[in-house]
Amino acid sequence: MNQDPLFSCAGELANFVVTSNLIDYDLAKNFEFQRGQTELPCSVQPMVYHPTPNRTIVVFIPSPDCTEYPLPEGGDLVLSPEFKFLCTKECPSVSINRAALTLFSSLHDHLSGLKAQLTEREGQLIITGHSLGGSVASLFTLYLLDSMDKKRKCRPICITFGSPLIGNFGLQHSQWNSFFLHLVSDKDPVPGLFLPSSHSQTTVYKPFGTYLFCSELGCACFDNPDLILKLLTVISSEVAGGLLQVVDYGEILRNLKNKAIWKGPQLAGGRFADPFSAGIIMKLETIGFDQTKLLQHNIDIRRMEAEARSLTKKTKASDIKELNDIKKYMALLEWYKKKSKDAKKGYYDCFKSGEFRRDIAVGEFMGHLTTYWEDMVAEAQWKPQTEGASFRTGWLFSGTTYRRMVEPLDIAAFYRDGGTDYINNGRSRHYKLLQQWYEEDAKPPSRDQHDSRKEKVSALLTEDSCFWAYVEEAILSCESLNNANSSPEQRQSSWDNLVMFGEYVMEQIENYAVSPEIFLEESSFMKWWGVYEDYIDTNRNSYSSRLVNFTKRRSYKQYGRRAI
Amino acid sequence: MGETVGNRISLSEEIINRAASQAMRAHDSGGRPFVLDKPRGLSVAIFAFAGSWLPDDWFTHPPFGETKMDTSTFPSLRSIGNDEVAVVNASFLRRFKAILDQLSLEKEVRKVVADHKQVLFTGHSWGAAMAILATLYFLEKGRPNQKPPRCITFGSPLVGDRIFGHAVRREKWSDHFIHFVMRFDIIPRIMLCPASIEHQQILNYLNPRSEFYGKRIDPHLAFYLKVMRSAASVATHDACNLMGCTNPLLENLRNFVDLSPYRPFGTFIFCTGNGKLVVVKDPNAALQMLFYTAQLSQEEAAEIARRSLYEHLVYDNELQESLGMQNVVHLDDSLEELPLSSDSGPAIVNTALNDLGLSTEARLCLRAAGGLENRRLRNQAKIDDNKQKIKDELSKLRGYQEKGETRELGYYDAFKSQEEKADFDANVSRLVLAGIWDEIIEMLRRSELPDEFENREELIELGTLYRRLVEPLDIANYYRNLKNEDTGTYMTRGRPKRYRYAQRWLEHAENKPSGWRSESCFWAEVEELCSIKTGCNNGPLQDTKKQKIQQLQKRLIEWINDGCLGKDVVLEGSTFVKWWKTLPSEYRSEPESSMIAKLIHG
Repeated sequence: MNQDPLFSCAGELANFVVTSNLIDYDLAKNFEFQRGQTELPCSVQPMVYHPTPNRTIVVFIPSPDCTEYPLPEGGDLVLSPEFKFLCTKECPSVSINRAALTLFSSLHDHLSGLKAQLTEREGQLIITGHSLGGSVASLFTLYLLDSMDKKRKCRPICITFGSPLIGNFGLQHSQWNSFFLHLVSDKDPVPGLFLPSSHSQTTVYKPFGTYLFCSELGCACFDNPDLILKLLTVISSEVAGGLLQVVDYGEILRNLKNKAIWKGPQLAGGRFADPFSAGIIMKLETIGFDQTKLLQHNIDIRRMEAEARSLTKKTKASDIKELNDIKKYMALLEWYKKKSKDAKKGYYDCFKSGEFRRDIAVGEFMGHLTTYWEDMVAEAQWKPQTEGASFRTGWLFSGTTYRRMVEPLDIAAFYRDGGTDYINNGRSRHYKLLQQWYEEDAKPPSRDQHDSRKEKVSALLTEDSCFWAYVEEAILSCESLNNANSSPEQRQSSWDNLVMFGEYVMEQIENYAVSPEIFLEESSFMKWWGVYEDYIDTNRNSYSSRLVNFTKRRSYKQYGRRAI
Repeated sequence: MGETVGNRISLSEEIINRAASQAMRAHDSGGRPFVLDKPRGLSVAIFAFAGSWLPDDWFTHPPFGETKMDTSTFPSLRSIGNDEVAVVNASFLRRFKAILDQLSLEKEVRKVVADHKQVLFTGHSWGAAMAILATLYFLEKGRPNQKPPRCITFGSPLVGDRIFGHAVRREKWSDHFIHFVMRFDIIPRIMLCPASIEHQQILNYLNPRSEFYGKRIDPHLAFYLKVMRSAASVATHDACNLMGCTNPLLENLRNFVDLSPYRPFGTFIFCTGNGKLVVVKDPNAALQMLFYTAQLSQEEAAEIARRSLYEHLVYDNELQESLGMQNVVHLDDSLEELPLSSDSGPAIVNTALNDLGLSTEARLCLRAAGGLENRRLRNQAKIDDNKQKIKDELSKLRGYQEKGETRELGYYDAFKSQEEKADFDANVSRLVLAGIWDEIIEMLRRSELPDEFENREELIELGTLYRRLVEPLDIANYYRNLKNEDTGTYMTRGRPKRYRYAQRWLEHAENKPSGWRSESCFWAEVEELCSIKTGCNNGPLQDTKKQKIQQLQKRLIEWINDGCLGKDVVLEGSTFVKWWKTLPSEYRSEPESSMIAKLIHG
């Protein structure tokens, strides 16, 4: 198989950033004000500018105290309910660096006003800051992203200069990751300030966004969190020995802007195995990490290559192909359902009895569908809550159709293999989440919809994808009632269950929420009804319920036919 | 090696030299837009365009002075399926159209063609831009039996954007354009930089009528740094994409950064300055070369800035020398295998790369450009592998269509009812095909296929077959699920891109306007007309409806006669016939009405 060659664009991306006009203007502002306001105690002040009508810049200016002694004692993390929206599967509770959070909270009232003002405004938005000012800029950007209209065309960008890490959450699976750019000089110990000095100790801090590392010789961009952590740790430990002096990022940028158009080295010798390692080794060298240092700190190029390759594997085009495949499998299941209906049995029971070859083929379609939807659900879970929710709404409709079509088959297999209590013992997590999200999004049905449902019910799928699990439990309850060995308690609980089930079914019928296929002659539901009816007739003939009346009067024969 | 430039581009060295001297001399044309030279003993007529150093002739408005291409004069300069119009420098286009309006150009060209001579357009600097537009203009008008015109430029500024180049390559015109570029010449890079005071300084320096002509620019490096910084932005941005950058930061940054839209196209020949010529056709590689070959080096920064102006004026002498030496390297054949270090790989290639000052970084970018082109070719091969699968599914659906006729219903209505196994199978085939075609469309949208892809006859044919046979099923599916009730009509909201693209391919190949080949949407039209209630007294609505119905009847007959619409639409049981029979007589016009009646009754 001919594999596409892999490249590292660490250098190209970095040079694109520094040669663009993006960080000229705001950077100058950034430092002017920092120097101008010496009287402030350790604090951060936001300033808003409009350099052009279309561009807004928010700079968080730290007082000199802040930059010179960036609160080393504030390095611990505190749980922050305010940033709970960043929770993901990977990071179920969000903690934020104490120093940054304190500064952010002290500005809270001011910032919520600023947020309202900025979300109104169209155009480009740049949020920036140096050192702890940058940490507050990051927090403010997140705060803004949470409430920003997802369809807004121009998103903000947050650029920090020499800012320490701020929290235990990552954004690797989120689109928000692309809104953060952090500049770190090889002379600046601050960004890695809160990290343990050796690799053997682990840290709960996680970087997010893209890091642009720079030295006198050039610069390189990386977005791999493990690599970033390692580089920060090394830089911090190497510089910490010397004097802690403020790094002049303005000067660094001026130098980098020139470097980008100056001719790079023509390396001699055949030491490059492939373009990827050539690019990345060259760039790591530029920012001060030569081969010996890489080895010493256990930075593995091969592993980076494997990760980069796996990222390029999935393309948009193959996603689209996959989506069509999924539609195909759904169509095949639809056909199966129709065939089963013609056999007067319903697809639930056909699959459960598994008599025909086609029942086996169905298992294969299910497998493809389940894998696909498990992945989709997992992907949504990796995203921060707000973003995850909007990501989902797009496909939740198809996801719900899938759940209603396929979950009954899982239930059938579960009870066929002798399982009991599917809801607690057998139900897959992705179904639960799909249902939960659907219910969060669903609006109460209007009168019109109720009527149109009445018309179309024969073409619809049963709404409650667990319907058949309740039927199976009802069957088990009947068996227990008819079993001479059952204890009185067991009988009582079985009977209670049946009463509840009767109410439940009737409610579904009245809402036109079940498919008329449940009334097919050979369906499990009708078999249950047979046993249940016998039981009532012999043991409790005074018992009456709405379901009993409905079914005894054979009213279901009209159900679903009104459309015609 | 051993191949001469002349062989490779099939123009003799003599002609190239002649063109170079004509192009330089045209600056003194005495106010005429071009000079015509018919050298004795050569089979060409050389049209050399005059130059201009007036800032207004270079940039109409900041930052980049671009405009949409005039597609009535240049109908091919757009992408077909994506349907984006190419972007061109507005000043160049305006001035070229002014030249056309004087009519002498067309008259002279016609005479030369009548003499059976090869037309060769040339120009230096601003004149080169005119030569490019003139060549395109006559290529657009060209007739199949005519010799297509050629174009040789010297120190040309960039003229059009990515789509401009894409369209030229798609039409297979790329080889007609040869651009000579001196290694440090600033003009081929100038369009990468937004309009600024530095532009004016450069033009004044080059303009013999300016008081600053040939005078040192102060500060002496600033203009060069400015242009190169912009060139670096464009080159590094494109390099990220070539290298398959997966960092989404890149896309977000694009919202904040103004990048020049201009990109190279055609064959570039770089002159190293010591007699070597390096040939590159790949447009991405050419862009990277434009930036990297002109990078500064510590020792000679001032010298380089000086040369960037001086070299713009010496093409005729330089070429005379270089063409005589015949030291030529063609990079395109080996882009993906270029040596990364300065001392490995084939010596001749490496010497040339070293002479152009290409660093390891630059070489990586060139490799990435080569890699992209190869990836596109592989994608195309993958699609070709799927062709049989497409054909198989289409023949199944063809069978389904024929069976529909025996059901007296037509496959459109049979599919809409979804009652038999065959209907379900057809749906599965529809979905399989949708998967294959949607993948192709997505690749086109992301420029992941060769530029010529949409111009391949076989594809256009297959796409048309597919569209005519399968689109009715998508329409049936749309109206079966009553999607029009909540989302709108099929044509406005529901039509998949795969059919829009296939229709545009055919229309482009037949030189027809967009919307001309809409026969596969027949059923959507019928469904929409059915849903407008007849008989209600809404005057204007009824009038448009009447017009639409009459037009539909006309086109129906045309389409059936052309064989691009199946006879199944006129089967007794079809939605169309049922609806048509209920039409009050004022909606029918003759002779169409009786012709349709005849069709229905076989």
